[in-house]
Amino acid sequence: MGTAEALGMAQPGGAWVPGDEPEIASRTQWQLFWERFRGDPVALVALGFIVLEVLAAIFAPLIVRAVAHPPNAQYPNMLDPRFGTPTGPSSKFLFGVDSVGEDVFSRVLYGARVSLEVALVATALAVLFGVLFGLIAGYYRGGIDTLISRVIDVTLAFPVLLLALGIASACSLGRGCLHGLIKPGLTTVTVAIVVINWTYIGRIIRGQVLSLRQKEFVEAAHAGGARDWTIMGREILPNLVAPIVVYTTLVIPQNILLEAALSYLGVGINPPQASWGEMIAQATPIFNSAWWFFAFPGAALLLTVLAFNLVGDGVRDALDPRMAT
Amino acid sequence: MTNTIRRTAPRMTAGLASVALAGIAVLGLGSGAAGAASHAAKRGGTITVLSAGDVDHIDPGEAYYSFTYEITYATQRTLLAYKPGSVNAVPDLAASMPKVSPDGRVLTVHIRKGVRFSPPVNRAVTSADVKYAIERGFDTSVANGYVGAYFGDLVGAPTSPTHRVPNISGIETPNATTIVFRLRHPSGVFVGALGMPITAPVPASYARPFDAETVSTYGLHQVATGPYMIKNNASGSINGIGYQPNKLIELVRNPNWNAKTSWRPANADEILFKEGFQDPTVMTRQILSGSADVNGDTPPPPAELRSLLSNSADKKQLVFTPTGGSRYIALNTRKAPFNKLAVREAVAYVLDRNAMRLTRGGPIDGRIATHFIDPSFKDKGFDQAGGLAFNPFPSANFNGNVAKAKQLMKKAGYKSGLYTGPQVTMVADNTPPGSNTAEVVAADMAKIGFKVKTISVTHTTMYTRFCNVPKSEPNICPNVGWLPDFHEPQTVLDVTFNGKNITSSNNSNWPLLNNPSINRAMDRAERIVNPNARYAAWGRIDQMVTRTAVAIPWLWEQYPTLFSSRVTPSTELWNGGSPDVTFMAVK
Amino acid sequence: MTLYIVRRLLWAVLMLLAVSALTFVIFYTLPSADPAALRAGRQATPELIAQIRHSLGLDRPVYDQFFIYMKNLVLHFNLGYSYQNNISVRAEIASRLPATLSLTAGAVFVWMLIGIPVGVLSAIKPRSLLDRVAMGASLVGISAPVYWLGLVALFLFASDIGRIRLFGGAGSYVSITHDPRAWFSSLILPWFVLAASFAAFYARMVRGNLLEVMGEDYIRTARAKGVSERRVIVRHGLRAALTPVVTIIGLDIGILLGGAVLTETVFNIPGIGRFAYDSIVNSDLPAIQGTVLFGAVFIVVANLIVDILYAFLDPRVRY
Repeated sequence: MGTAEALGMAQPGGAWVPGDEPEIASRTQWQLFWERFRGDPVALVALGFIVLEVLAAIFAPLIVRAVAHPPNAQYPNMLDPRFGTPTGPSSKFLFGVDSVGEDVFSRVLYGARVSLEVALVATALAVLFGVLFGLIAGYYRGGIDTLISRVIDVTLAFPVLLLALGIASACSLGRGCLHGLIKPGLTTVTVAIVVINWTYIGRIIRGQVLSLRQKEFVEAAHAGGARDWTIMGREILPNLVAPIVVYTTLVIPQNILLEAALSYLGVGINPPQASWGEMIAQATPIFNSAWWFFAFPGAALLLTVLAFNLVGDGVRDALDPRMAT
Repeated sequence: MTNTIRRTAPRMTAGLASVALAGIAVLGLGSGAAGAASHAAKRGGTITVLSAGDVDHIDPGEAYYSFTYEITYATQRTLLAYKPGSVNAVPDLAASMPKVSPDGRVLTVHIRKGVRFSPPVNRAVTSADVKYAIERGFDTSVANGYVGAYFGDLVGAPTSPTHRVPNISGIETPNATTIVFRLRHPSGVFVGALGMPITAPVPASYARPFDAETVSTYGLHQVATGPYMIKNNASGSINGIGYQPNKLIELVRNPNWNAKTSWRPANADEILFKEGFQDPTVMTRQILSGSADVNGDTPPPPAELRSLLSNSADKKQLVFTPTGGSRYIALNTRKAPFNKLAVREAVAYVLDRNAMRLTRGGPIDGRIATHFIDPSFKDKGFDQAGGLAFNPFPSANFNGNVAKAKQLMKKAGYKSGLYTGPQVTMVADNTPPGSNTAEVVAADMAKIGFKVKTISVTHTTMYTRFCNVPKSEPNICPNVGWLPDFHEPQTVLDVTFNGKNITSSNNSNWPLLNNPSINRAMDRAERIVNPNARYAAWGRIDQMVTRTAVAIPWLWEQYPTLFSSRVTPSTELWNGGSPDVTFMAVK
Repeated sequence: MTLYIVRRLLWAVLMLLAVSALTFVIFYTLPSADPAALRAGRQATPELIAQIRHSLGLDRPVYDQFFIYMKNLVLHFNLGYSYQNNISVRAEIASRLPATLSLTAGAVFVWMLIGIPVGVLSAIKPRSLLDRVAMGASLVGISAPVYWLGLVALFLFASDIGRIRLFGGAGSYVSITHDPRAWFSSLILPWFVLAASFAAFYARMVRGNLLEVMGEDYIRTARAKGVSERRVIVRHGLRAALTPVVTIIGLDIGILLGGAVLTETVFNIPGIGRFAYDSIVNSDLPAIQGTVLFGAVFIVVANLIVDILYAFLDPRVRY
């Protein structure tokens, strides 16, 4: 690992004149990474978009108060009085209304909260568990490795969407499952995502740890009397950062789509809370005439996932310039 | 009728007079076309019916859903049946209307000669077959849902379901063509019950082995007496042949049906029920393009109706039919806060019924309901209940009256006029339009301070796990309603509001109303044989129930049926506007 | 080698058993529609519901129910009967298999046809306009939710409601034996929609792999030796770049054969994915068990084949 070297050390094979050497600042891997990332305009724009979106989600209440209407407030007068069909974009309702007369613009904005929370919280938790169990399995091997690996195998043998559907269905009724610990809605979706996701990264980390623990520096630490957890934390974990980052960037957009899919299928977020997937589901019966109702949430979903994908690409490229395009 | 327990669109009917929208083809078309079709219609061809879901039960002895009836009444001959534009039963299997004894306790029916079962049974129908058909409804393997309510008063009828097909002494068969029903008490409505599917004959020796199983498999091996039969194989099984669950039901001509013994024209040669069309827009488009002929269980969505009604050619293919029932919001009276009358009245005032109706499509969907007997009953209870004028919780344009609601809340003890107690729960459909209606209800209740926690589940789950089970019932069940089983006001008030009909599961008295004076009035009304006295009694009961505000009616629905231009339309007024495939013809 | 195969086979069987058990646990606790109440119909007395519960075996302890289920499955290949309508789950899956097969086969064909050449061409000319456009489109392809893409496709091209009426709309699926033309037309939109995200993924992967391979030493050597560029790519580059693709295709096919729930839902294709979703939503435990097991079998088999192939190619893997 790069450690910062002192400036102005003697270069072999040359006379050293004090003061006339340019300052050679050697850079940490992270600085290298950041420089490469900075040079990728597409990734930067995407990152900017995400930052904007996060801000919009955080300040949604203010924005909504300024230019739109509360997301759960119904305006039946915006529905066609003869048929109950919703009206489209107008100056007061920027993205039109949905089938109960709620402001689509506000709901798209608040829907960002759900998607971003899933992206960040659910993914973070999944990665946490995956890394934890992968570390334990790969480091200790033997019985506990077999146990963890088998659990991973069985989970992976399950058709993913069906497993998510099952968990979400089971916990989306009444008081939820585990005696109300897992409530319907965002919590259930998060749990479903975590249960599915941790296995992928668990497997990857386990593989990496298995090979890393053979390396000399680990043996050295062992010989030096360091405890297991210290070794795992100080020696092995830092080497895992790259695959963890790569995996995380790959999986965030997938999880956003998974939450939307679960909400679309009716087992994720339920009304009146706003979620892009649920909005698309609501829009499906009338998508033919009320195009705004499925277009805007869908576009929001597409752009968000796209942005995360682009950032992910940029991160991966910056980490490994050999693959740079 | 219980089709509200299934799927999205339980059909509700609104008054004939309520169809005030200019130029909408009204149900007059139904009976008129039926008449024309039966004389001038071409024979032959295939009719295709599209549906979102499947039948509730393929066994005619279990069927209790308006969509299923489209198939049941095309393949089975009940003692009495209905012509398309009518709500009054006429003899079908019966040779003539039953003779009722003066005390109203004995009914004698003669069945027609020359009616035979379809292959593989083939033989002539006898009175014993009708007796067996009704008796098997009491067996747990069949578990018919209405046999207790309407046939439970027969002498010798079991008081609870039995493990074998019981022998009911009150059903006598003195000869092969005569049935005598003996009732314990006089009944004015028993005749109407003779039009229900349970009276379609079932051959005992053929069916017994199937009925002996824990859950009867007769349905998968059923035989027909009507003009059509579900396509089967040589041994009689329809499974995978004429009946592919959630996919297809295929009706072919019954070779043993004798047209001379029936008033059904049965023009088409084949009828296909294609299921699984979850998207009503797609369904509508297919019908308009002619690749299908009619919608079986789901109405065209409001957006499509709007474009249909603006096109004069398309308009002619659309038929609106009052369903005879109502939709309502049920409040659980066994738990606080809705055990208090004033609180319930406040809810009745605050609900914006107009917005609720908009979620189902607005005025084309029917009249806003003010009580439970709907306008199509006219002088059979609707007028006696006060007609349109009876509106105990009025508000301008039915938009709700928040001020009055707050007043009532104050009367109930909430000083500020706003509810201050714990959260109330509501279990609602998770798909539109039921989910949208529930959202409107929640938003309205928030106006008087209620924080409503909504649990969204499938329509079926909403019933079987929550609203039908008193122990697990939430405070509010917003997506319930009821259709009449036949054209008697008793059938929309008794099962749903009589305290004696509360059961611990599969309960239909959702408010759990158990008011002794109302119960007494209903029990008395059940025994009234004189029609006028009976309708007057039920009209009064309707008023009593409405005033308790345990359930807030909001729609007397009219159901749109869309026909393709290649068929002649025909709708069942007695069955919520479902298409009558035995009267339709391919042009 | 045979020992390895045998071991993997045994493990595969064990996994399927575990999947069954897990399904049972998850879905058994589903507090959704009560199947006994569903069967019982209206106004049923508690005794009646208890009766039906007993007849369905629902009042037995969980492990008992599970054991009976497994016995039926292993000895008689009987997957039980649906709670909804008493139909044999196995028969239902069998009758829906052709639809899922049609959807999967067509989609695989489409995405291979598009994804791989696009990936190769993009890698050959990196940073060209073609590359940028292709990769841009791929990004959109993997970012858009498949049901939304489906709605957009229907909105634009469905023969009944689209702006440009080209292909069969939702619900127009018929089996190939019934009407080959209609079958084909009804599947075009679903094929492309389902293939979109996969094609994008494969294009990116192939491009990445090929670029990496092209940077390898032996490629440089081949070029130095004077081998034509085309031969370099086709002979050396592609083979190395495509090997991982083959394994992933196997896995993807395995997954899709379990049913593409979202696509089948949007386009109303009566396949196994749709059946699985309907059963979950209706708490139809036997049907859920059947469809999940079915999907798991394909996943496990695909994994097995891939593992064995790898073991053939790389003996080190056989630990």
